[in-house]
Amino acid sequence: MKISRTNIYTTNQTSMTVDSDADSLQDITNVNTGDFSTAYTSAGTASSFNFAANLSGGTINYVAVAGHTYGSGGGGILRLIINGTIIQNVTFAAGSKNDVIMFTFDQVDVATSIRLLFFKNIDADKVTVTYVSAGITLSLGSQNSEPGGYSRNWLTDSKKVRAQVNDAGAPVAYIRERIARQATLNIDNVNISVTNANQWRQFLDRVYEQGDFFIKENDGSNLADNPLSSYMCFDAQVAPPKAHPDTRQLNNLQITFKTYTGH
Amino acid sequence: MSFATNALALNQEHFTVVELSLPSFLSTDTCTLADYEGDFFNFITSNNEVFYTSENREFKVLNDDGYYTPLTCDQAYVGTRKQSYYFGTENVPVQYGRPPTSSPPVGTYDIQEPIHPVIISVSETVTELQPGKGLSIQGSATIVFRDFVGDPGPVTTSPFGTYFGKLNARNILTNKVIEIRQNHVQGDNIYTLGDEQIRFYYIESFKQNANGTWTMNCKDLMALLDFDKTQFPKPTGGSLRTAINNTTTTIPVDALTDWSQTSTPYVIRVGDELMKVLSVANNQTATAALTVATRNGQITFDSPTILLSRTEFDEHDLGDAVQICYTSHDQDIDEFLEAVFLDAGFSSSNLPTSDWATEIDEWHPNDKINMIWHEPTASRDVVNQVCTNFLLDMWYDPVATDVKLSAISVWQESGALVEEGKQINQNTFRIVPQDKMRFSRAFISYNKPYKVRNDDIENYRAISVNINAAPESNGQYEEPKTKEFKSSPIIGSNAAALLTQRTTARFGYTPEMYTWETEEKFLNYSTGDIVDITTSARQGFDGRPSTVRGQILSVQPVYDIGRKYRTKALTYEAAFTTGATFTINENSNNINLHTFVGAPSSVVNVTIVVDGATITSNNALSPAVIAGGFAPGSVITLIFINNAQFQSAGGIGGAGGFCAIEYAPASVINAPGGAGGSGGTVYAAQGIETNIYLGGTIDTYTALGTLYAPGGGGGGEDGQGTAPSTAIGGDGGGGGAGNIFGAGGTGGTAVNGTSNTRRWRR
Repeated sequence: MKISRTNIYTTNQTSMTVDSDADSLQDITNVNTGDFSTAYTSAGTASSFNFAANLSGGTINYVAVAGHTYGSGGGGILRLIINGTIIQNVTFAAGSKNDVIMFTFDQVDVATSIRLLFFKNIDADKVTVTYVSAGITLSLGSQNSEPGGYSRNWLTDSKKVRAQVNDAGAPVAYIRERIARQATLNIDNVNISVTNANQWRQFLDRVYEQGDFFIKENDGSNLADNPLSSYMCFDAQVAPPKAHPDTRQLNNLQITFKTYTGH
Repeated sequence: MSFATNALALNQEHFTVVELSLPSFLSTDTCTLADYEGDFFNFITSNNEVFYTSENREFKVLNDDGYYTPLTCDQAYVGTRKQSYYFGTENVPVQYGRPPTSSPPVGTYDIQEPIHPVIISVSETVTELQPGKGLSIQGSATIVFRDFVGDPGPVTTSPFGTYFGKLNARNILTNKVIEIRQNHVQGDNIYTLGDEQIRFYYIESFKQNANGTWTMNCKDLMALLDFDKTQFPKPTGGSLRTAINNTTTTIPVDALTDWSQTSTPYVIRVGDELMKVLSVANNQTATAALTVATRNGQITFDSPTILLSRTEFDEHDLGDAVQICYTSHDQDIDEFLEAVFLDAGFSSSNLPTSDWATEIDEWHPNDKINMIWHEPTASRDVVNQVCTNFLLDMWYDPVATDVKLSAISVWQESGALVEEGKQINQNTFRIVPQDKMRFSRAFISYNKPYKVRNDDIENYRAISVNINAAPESNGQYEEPKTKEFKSSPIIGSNAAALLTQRTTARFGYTPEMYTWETEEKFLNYSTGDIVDITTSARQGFDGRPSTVRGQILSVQPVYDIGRKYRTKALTYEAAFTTGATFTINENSNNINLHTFVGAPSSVVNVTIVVDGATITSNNALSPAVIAGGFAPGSVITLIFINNAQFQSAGGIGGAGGFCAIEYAPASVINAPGGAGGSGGTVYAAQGIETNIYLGGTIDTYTALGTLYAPGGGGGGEDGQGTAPSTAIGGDGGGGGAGNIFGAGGTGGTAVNGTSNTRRWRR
């Protein structure tokens, strides 16, 4: 599991460019905030949608994209390029359901360019991107994974459904509604060096000042890497770390939040 | 797919978008704000930076850009440009308004403006029909928004404050249109106008709540009829320039009022007197004067000639108010309503007047409005009076943006079947008896000769009463329950009879109010429709689910998980379905059977039991009973019981013949007596097949009654002169027998002539 703790995509950004499939009526800086009322939608006139953020530097080991439509329409291949180096390719099948993707990779100490290049199977497909975040993830030492019983929200639809039945008790209508699922992440036995360190403070700043963070569950350390196993978290409440009942060297953490998976 | 097609899907996902359009300047326009925060203005750079003085005060300037809304620019807003603002529920898909392909179908939304997913709730209180009470309950909507840090522009922005705080400060939202757009999530991510159901409202208020939210209250278009907005007729504010006596026909009036705003002839009211204006001279000058018709106490309009009102002529003083009246002269009901709505500010596009005319032509073909509207009254009250008097339902449809009119719902056929398990969600059906709405009798006073007088009963000349005897009979309610309508100066005898008959026919038995919930998939009816309802919650005599007919009063969307609809309906007791039976048990005269049973417009088979009543006519030229305007092919069955009778007036007697005498040469001329008049008709079938039972057994009735044929008048006697010295006119014939005797004939005249003259006279 990876949890984002910083976001330098906007703070260290010097400029943005759309290098193919640009729509002159759209503003690419709309992707800088987690405000889902604005987004950038490409023109649908080129074989690839290619945009980049130029940075003044900064350390990153993740890039996350939320509210995207890479999987809609004919699908294609999304390539992450940092400082001109290809980091990873992810294939989106036509019509695949995914709205949030989080790449994690070996730390890049001085990031000057983050490019997202989407090769479309159908040139006319427009691609929407709502929010991009990039920075460093939270390192919880030996407890860097979700506990047993943790709800894997990316593996379900964020919906609830009610069914209407007839007198025979048989269904006659279904109404579904998208929801922001509530989740609680409990991580026990975290060494106090983690919560005492600056990275914990950075995580809290991310949570309370930007309002969101990302989680990727299958990060490749002990599970097959899967950038699609990601979701955006918001409306978070971070409980004060609680001292372990047996030793003061450990803390127990609890974070409650809502999730956005987009489907 | 269209909204209607999507609504049929087994599995649906809903969301709501609200669009607000506000007047706005173009970014290329000049918009300066010359008076803001006293003499100074905030200075904000293009990077939204604010500067501070060495004294740590915000740096301000003497002039600044406005915010490109009519309220924040010195320049007048003369354009038609609107800025659209979009808000959504939190589940608005990212794809809404963003076409997934560069070659989407024509009409696909491509929205460049932000779509803010900040709607916390949308609740609508939809219009609700009030059968028998006139206008529907006005619809309204309430939308709650979550405020956020942002700027609504539309051009200039500010780094301070919140989005809705600034939106409210820069715009006057009252009376602006807001569209509530109901959507389904589309599998192809393409959203077009046809995929939405748009409900139009008008903003009434926008207020900030204590918890960082804003509430927008909206009304439907019917709010234009409210008293504080419009009156009918509008107050014209004129006055007399000098005093006048009670006979002059030249009325000096003020120079400010436009006395030609209404084409002549029209009616004015001065004090309690009405005057008919024939022409206007020197309009809007110091010598403006109106020429009025002879002030003889009557206001009559021609073609056709109708006495619209009597009036009392009087002297009037300088400065007395002169109100221009609205005159309804033989006016169709729908035309009058159109005039009121247009006067209230409705656009003709909101008034489907051809539909109205069709309804009125079908259910009130002979009813006209003859009235002088002399006192400014809330337009709502005027419409309400017309609706009540003619049993009309009117309501605003926020989807069609039309004002609907249903002339008389008691005759509509069922348009849909509503079943439990489909249209009725399980365990949601409720029945509430409405005994307050039960009326077995109804009456209304009408025919008000002096339209200016108050509405006290002594100012009315006629009354229409209808009794539905069956509900009052032993074993049923065993009591009369009477609806007294407010006296009406606008209806005639036919409309009054229809009103009382239709009221007792529809509300003779306790109406039931039904409520239930329906999923959008099964919503196959709308407000005003007549439906057949089948549910186990309403049992028949044998305990099995019964089918009852109801009129849909309201269909209100409610938001749970997605949308569903809460429906209200009222028992719909048709005045009759074909084969229905009516009873006449009160003595009366000159009955029109078609009107008596409620004036059905389609072919019907109706039975009328005349129970012990005597129906007469006092004029041999007017039948005691006529079939009336039944559709050709209808069948009437008349069953007389308990010595019921139809009678009519006897014929008038013929005049006696005259006797004329001529002297040179002497002769006597005896003219023949005149023929007697025919006796009156007791029943005129007027081409409608009628079966009449006066004896024997028919169904459960033992027929016993009489049709009395009135006698014709006797013929007049011929002149009886026998010699020049004995000129004798003939005697008049006797009047025929009937419920009243015909008048006798006049006697013949005996005339003495001269040698050169003959005088023929009767």
